[in-house]
Amino acid sequence: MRFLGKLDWLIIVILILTSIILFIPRRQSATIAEIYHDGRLVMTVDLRVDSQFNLEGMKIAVSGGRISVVDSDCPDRICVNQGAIDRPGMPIVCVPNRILIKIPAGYTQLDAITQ
Amino acid sequence: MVNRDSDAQTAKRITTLSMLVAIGSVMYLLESLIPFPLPVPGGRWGFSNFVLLLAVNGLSLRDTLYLAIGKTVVGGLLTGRLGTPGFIMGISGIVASALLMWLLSRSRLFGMAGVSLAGAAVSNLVQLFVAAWLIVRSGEILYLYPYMLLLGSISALINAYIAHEVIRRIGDTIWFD
Repeated sequence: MRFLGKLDWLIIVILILTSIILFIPRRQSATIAEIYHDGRLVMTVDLRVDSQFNLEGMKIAVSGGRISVVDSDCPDRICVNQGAIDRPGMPIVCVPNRILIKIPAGYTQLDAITQ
Repeated sequence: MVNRDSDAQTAKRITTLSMLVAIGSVMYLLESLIPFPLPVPGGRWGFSNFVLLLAVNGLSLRDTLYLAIGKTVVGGLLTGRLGTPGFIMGISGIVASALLMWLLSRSRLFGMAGVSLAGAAVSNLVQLFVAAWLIVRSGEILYLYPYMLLLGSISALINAYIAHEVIRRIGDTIWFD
């Protein structure tokens, strides 16, 4: 048997095409947000499901993969003005309510499986 | 072929199969010491599969499958991975790829490199499908496929080269008198 046969180029082309198609970068959107109260993780929110809930006098909404504080009883309302976040980086912090909402870095859909 | 085997042919068949299982199992043990950079349970490079490339050239389909299962079970015993999720993924992949490589090899249309690459690609695909359906129960693990394909192709080409050199040097004597 030879090292390279007559139709080996076919297999090689199929494999290269498959790799190229699969390697086309897809936007890895974050899938969870974590909510901390007093530094303790109190809630993990699935960003793939739209929802709305109340926590410590704040109304928090998840919509279209983004999480935001839509209403709060705190005086300065910085958390509401910050708007929605959908990626790791700047967390939403409400100091009066001691609430921190963040999207953990590096936590992609793949990590959800392998952990 | 099996029913007409003379005693000498039977002895030859058993010896060849045992030798290939032994080499494959030891390779399986040794390659598990090489770090595998992907987060796949029981992820391995697959260098032990070069014995299958030798087998598909001369052994019957039944013996090829015996070899595939034999080296994986003995290798699993040696590495202490027998029965783990990674082992179940591995053995499913190896049986599927042994079947495919035997068919491609018998078609006489493909060379060693093509048979090896196709076998590795199918082995990885079946492993990930088994993982997705039976182990992690989520399709997300299939995102690993392109990375496994890349690493698997590297070891597949190395395997093809080793098998090609072995056959070039010793000829067909390991299968036939």
